[in-house]
Amino acid sequence: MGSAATLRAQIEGMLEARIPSALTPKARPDQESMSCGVDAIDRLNAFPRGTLAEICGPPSTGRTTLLHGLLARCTAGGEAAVVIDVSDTFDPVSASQAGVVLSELLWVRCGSTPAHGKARTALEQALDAVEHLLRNGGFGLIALDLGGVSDNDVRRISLGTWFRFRRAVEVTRALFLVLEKQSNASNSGGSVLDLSQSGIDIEGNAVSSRLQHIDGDCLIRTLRTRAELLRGQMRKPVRSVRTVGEFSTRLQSYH
Amino acid sequence: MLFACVYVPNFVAQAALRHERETRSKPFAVVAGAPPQTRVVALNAKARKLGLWTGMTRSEAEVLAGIQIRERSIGLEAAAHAALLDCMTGFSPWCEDIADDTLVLDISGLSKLLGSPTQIARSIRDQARNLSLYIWLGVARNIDSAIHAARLAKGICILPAGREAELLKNAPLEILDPSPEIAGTLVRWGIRSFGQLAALPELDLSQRLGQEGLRLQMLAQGRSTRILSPTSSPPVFEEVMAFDDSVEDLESLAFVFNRLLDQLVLRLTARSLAVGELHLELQLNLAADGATATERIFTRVLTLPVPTVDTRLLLKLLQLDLEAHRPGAPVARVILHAEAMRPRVIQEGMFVPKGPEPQRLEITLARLRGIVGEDRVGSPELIDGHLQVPFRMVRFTPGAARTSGSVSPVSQTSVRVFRPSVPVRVEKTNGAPRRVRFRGVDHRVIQASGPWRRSGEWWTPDHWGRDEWDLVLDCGGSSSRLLVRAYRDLVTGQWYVEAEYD
Repeated sequence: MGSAATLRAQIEGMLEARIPSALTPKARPDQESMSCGVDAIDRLNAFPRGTLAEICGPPSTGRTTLLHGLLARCTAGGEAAVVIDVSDTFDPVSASQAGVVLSELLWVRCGSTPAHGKARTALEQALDAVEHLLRNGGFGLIALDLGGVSDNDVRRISLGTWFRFRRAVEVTRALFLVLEKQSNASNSGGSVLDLSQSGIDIEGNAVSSRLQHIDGDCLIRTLRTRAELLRGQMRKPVRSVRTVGEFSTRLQSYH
Repeated sequence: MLFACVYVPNFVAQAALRHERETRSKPFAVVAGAPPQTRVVALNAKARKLGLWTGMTRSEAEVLAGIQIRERSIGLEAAAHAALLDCMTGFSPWCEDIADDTLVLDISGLSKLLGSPTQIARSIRDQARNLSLYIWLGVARNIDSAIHAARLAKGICILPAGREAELLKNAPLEILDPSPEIAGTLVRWGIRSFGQLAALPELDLSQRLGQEGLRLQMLAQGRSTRILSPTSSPPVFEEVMAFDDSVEDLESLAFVFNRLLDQLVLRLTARSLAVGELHLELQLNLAADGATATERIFTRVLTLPVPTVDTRLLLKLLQLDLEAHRPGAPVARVILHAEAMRPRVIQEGMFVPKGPEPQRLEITLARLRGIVGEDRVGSPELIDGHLQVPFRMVRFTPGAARTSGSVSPVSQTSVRVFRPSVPVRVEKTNGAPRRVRFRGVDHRVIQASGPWRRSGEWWTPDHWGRDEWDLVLDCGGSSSRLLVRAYRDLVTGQWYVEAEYD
């Protein structure tokens, strides 16, 4: 190890005049983490700019809530954001209630074949759209929503594709966020926020008797979520950092 | 006062081949008239050397090998004239439109910017050359002498003050364009040049030819009291190209678009304007094999987020738009029309986040529309109404909204909407769902909250109504629960799952 370090120092010394620090990777400054509006998650610094971040979890675990929170803070700060919606499930009403400035949001709805275009799957369309949007630049947040896509299909995305996305986003101030059921980006992911349901709070007479249902006799109050940040840094030596936070959100509308 | 006259020699031929650089170096002729009386109306020097002359019939001209024949086009001539006018108004707003091939402009005061009259004339000539127009220029203290100098000079002719008569003395009388009677009389007298006419005794000339004779003599002497009357018609930025054989390939059309866009942008730049909207009109050949289009005219409009003079951007947008909306038949004629706007100048704020670059974004959006479809890319806009789908897609224009910068903490659970809603089979107990089956999976309902009735548009044929339920469903062996919003359609009685809380 010592001889390798010496050799590296010698080579760098020889090349110093032409290529300063030829064999030393350029240190990247730590980018600020984007806020999602949930204190317990913001404390984890789960969404640093210039990285590929993943929000994973099964349905009804608060993935979309966090996505809307991030979009709201990004667009309210005057930055443009984009959602590449593979299964066309984005709800503008819900997003607007979360504070998203819709005019600053570009929504790409995959799944429809254009009249003169090639017939491609929604996932292929989405990956193609991500390439174009990453290349375009200028967005604060680029979100790829794979939440409605089957695990098998998502697993078919090659590691090379994720790596390419990671390299493309590294040189920008954008956060590239992937919302999915399981983490797939492997080492290309800067951070993985794994969500799981920790409970659903019910209010009303039926709480005691789960099988008894009478019209309007209970109210589903809150959805409680446990979030575990699996990886938080990409610099060497890579350490698996695990931090945990919990949050709960009310169900919208009727009250 | 100092006036410059711009004259376009062989205007009809120049206008016909303005967009065809390759053909200009070959012998060519422009023909006009209905068959069989189609005759040559203009030709270039190489064609003349081959033995062609103006007035010969098309069939006679076609006998000669290597001759390029073009139909005379009023549209192309109008476009060439408009281009010339744009070019000249870039030098001086005081510009008079004398004829299709002749313009006069007041260049007094330009010497401080461009130098001597010769240098001004060279600048004008170079600018016109960028528009593929080869011009002759005459500069004089009065308008008529400038016109005569331009028609006489094969290049640039500067007439110094007081020496107009001397320098124009050898000019042929045809330049004065006298009436046939007067021209005949002067020929019988042996008068053929300006100098000869200028030397005739004034009184005798007046007795024989009247006031018209005196006027012509005054012009031949380089004297004129004509006042400039500037052209004030609004400019039309339009370029046209017609093909002998209709073009089907979009890539070939791209070359044509590129040339036309170059010309449009040059004209707009001369007036310090930019393209705000681009109108494309294609005349289709519906008789061609495999044509699927039903209308002869195919039009597309590109509205740009910011006015631009970037030809590459405009070309790319046109290509992407035509790939997404194919004409459906070979193209016989292309018309590009630009709506001119003042270029936008923006002072970026030091603390304002930098958004996507508008020109680049427009290309990206066009590409995305090509991938997912025309109406599937944009910003959602909420509709203030009792609708089942309470939003519409609008054009994405970032930076247009004023944002507050502050957002309250996240407190509500967001939803993911299934489009279309998923049909569901429901078993009920006491009116509430007990078991549901959707997407091929049975779920036990653990909690059911509802119903909440919603309805709208009951005053229209599109009325709708539903009883909505929030359901907590078990997910087989998993401890995690699925939280969905289901509803019973009050019109059909059918149950659906509309969204999932997430």
